[in-house]
Amino acid sequence: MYRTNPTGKIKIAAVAAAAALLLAACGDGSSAAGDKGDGKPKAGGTLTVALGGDPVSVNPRAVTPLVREVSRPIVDSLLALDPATKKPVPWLAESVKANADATEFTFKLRSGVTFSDGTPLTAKVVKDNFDDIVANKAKTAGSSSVALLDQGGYKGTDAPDDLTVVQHFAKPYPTWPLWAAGTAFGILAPKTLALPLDARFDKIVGSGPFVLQSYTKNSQVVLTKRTGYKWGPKTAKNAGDAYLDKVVYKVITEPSVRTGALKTGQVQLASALNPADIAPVRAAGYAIVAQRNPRLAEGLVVTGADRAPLNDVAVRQALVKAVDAKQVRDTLLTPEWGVPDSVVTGTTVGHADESALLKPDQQAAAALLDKAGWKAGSDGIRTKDGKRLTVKLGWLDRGNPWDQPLVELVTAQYKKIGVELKPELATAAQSVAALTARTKWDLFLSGVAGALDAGVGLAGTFSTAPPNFYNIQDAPLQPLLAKQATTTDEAARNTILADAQRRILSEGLFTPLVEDTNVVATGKKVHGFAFDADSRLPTLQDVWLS
Amino acid sequence: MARFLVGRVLQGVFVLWAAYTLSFAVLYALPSDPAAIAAGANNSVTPEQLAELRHEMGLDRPLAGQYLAKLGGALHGDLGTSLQSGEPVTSLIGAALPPTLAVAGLGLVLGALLGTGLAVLATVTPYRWLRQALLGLPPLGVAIPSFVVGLLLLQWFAFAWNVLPAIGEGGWRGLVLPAATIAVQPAALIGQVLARSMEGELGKDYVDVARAKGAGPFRVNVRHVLRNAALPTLTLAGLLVGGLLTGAIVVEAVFSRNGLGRITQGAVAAEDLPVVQGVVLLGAAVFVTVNLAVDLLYQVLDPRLAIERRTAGTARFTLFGLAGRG
Repeated sequence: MYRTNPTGKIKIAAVAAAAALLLAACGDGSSAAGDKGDGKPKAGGTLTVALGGDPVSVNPRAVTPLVREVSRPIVDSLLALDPATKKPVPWLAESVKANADATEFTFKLRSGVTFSDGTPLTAKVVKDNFDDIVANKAKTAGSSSVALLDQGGYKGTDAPDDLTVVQHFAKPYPTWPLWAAGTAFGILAPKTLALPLDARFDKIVGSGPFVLQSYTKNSQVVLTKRTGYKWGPKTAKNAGDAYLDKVVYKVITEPSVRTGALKTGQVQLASALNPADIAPVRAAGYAIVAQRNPRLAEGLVVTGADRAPLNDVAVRQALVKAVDAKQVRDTLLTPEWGVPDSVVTGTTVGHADESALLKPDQQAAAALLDKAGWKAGSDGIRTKDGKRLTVKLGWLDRGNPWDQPLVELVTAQYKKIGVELKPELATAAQSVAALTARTKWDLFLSGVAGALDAGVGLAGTFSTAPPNFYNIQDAPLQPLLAKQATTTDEAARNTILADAQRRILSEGLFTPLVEDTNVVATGKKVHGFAFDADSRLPTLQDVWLS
Repeated sequence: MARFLVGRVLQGVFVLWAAYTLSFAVLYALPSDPAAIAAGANNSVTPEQLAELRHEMGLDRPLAGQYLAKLGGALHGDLGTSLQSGEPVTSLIGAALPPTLAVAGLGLVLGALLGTGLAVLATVTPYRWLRQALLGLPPLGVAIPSFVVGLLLLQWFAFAWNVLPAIGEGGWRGLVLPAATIAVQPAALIGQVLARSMEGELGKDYVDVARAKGAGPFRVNVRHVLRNAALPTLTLAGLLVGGLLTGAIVVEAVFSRNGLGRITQGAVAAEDLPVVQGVVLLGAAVFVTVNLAVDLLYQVLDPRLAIERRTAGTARFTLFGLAGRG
């Protein structure tokens, strides 16, 4: 449920990348590969991180694309996720038990945990946190905290004793422990909860390994080490205080400036690297860490399945077969990006490899269109009953430098089978209006919707329930989407999720194009950095500087 | 003089009100829904939740009521809170103003110095080739987009030679590159207009008189010609200040600085209406102030204008009429 970045970035990214390439020769090319050998961790120092945009707020429940990165080190959650297995592990809660139908969860809190202002963590504070989310529900519509509680029909939290938290849901909610590990459910101190919601954006007190020092809009977030921290998640390598004294997140919106600042040593960690930046940075001796985002692949959602020409399943299938996602990866991206093999990316829980359905095959695509009655026209575009096979695509600039060439490439690939693609670039506001109007676009280039578990992304995008943003028409898919959410047996649930992915692809409702990937470059003195299970920046508790 | 000032201030207040009202009308008449943007384009938000959010944002009230409530607040210095973060608009803009003022102010000074220097040098120089070369610079300066200038400066001074920082607001060293970037456009405009009008002035009789009295070319150009040629350039001031805000949007993005440009860009993208309105109001206030200052300066530079006004009896300097004066 992490949102795409809707800000219409000034379109200088492409030029910037080109300029960076041109000028790379003038850049620093002298440094050799640094020694990344993990010696004994050393305490001290300041880590400066280049962030790709302004977090807007540090409140973990705010609806902004980057708040997750800056609030993770400040607030702890009840559980954490093991990056290797994506299974919940103890954090503030030592254990969690679900009842038989997964409608009730009992968390046993760790004792001795305090917030950075000294107040102790109790079951009452946890209950207050969840009550607070419900109380502010109207103002935070669209936030993952609200959406994820709604998804299970959240009924309430009890605190029978100081260290026991019991949560109730109306529906079976087997994935709840997974979501409880998210930053959206980070536990805030009573001091922060006492503030009105609007006043919290720069005053977040948590129990995490770092403490919020200051937030300066569009500029920086400064965190300092919390001393006496000894309740890190079970998967943390460092059991005690963080190694770093200070963390500074610098807002640097220009990708070439992020990597430039890394080379001059103004930052030690550059996040959100563009494909074009990777090779020069690696050549200069910096380590590249990449991890695919667990969520829906970036791709084309059919928004016009209720009308010609996409109401014909043969045409939709032809469009899926016409696209060569490997060519997209090879020409526009780098090997850090995977080739999508399903509706969701490979790191998503419940992902099923459906690459058999995604083999590019232009001949088969052409045959499907022939059979559906679309005959080759004089200018190469097929026609049927005097109508050209034209498909309208809506897309918005999410700041990805590859989106424009991606749209051009797909246009070319469609043209090979005689389909005319008419792309239209829209702002976030325009696309909301166009999608609500339903009839404007036949396809929409959907960004990175969804979350760690495939169920959320699939249900969120392909459900026909209101507001049915993408005008989905497929009725047989709906029982699968409903059933996966409440199936408690993991194997049975994975089977349903796989069925849903197969159904979507074989019906031609979605064409995956890009596996969204997070890429970070780290300075030569940075050790112990790894992405969290959700491919986002970690708490930084394990990171140290040599 | 007092009457003139009072009249101008009243005009200024009218302009501010008009800008506020017009921006309200335009922003709130947009077909898009700020609540839908705030909640994000996703399926997890039900229509009921969206309606509730609209209520929280006060978007479900009649437009006239919203307008009056907002105008009342604005009169008391309360511009509302950001729809994105909940931060008060006044503190948001207040925090963004100093860094922008620093860059834009330094950029304007730098631009004026460079532009004036270029015009004077081009007029004074006896070498035809130098003159041609100098006069070729302003069109070039206007033609190169400022983000290209910024990125080139960054690549050389910050990344290749590492003499100035690439990011951040801290200290004067961080100011140099952004100010130099933002100075290019005003320098080009000032250089162009000033060189043209100096050329025109040079043919006038008083120049011959000054020369006949034994003034050297530098004295003639700077003491006599520059003063008279400055009037049309001064008229540019309003335009230049407007250009500085647009320049700030680019420069602040390239050099990773906070400021009005970044606030504006973010607010427009997210349709954060209260913030956009705050920026519009501030922009209008700056325009009004600059134009008033230019009017007063006119009279200092050319005392004939003050006499003309006194004899005409009425304040015929209207905000828009001023532009035609160049």
